[in-house]
Amino acid sequence: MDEINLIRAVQHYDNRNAFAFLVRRYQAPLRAYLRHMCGGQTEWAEELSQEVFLRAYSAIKTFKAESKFSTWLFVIARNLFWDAKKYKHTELHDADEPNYNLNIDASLDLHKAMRKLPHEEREVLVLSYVEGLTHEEIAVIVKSPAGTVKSRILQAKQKLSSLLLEVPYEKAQP
Amino acid sequence: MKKLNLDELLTQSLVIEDNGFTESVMEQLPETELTMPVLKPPQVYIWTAAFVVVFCIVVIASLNSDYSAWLSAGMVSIFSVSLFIALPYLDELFT
Repeated sequence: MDEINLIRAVQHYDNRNAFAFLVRRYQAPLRAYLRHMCGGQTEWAEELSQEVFLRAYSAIKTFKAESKFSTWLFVIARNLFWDAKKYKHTELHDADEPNYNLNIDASLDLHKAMRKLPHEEREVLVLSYVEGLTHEEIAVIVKSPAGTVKSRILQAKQKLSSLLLEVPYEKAQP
Repeated sequence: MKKLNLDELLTQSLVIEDNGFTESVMEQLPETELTMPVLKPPQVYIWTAAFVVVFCIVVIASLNSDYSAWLSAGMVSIFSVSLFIALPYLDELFT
């Protein structure tokens, strides 16, 4: 069954198996996005990720398929994150190191470097690497022009490259 | 000189295993009450039109006939109304 039929099954018949399929399909990019946004605070990011899917389930009847389902989910995630951040007043750069599935040293360096990026650059960079979102789709999510998104991604990648090259991780090399 | 493949590093950093996440979300979904399915356009229009057409044909035919025609008209009408009411459930069965 393709994605739009899964969504219709949830909208019209409250089909939970269809919704479970959608959660399984989008959990990885969404959780990755929120982990980066939460500065590696995995527990908080997981709570927000669950809340995103619960809200999506409650509001799925309002999804009109005018955008991709992933775009709609990321809009919910972004709004939820900024609301939660205002409420939480949390410093986002003093978190435990996250556990990701790649070379540990390189991963830690990447996440340390990511946390040094401004939020708006970190956000568009992560979004550009998940779900194959285009600059236009990211622009809808972050409510900025596509040109701004493109330049932010470029700046973020340049900063990240220079930050990563500063961090010594030769010990991970054979 | 250290080699840096930023694209690969970023792509790999976005790989996260499910590890029970989906089950956890599904357990927290609110319970919903069973409600009668509701016909939605264009279904409503198609079936209303079909019902009206069948009803009109039967009534016109029965005007030139005897009581058995009226009986047929009644049965066809009852069948059409039943089908109209049952349609949402049938639709759900076959979807």
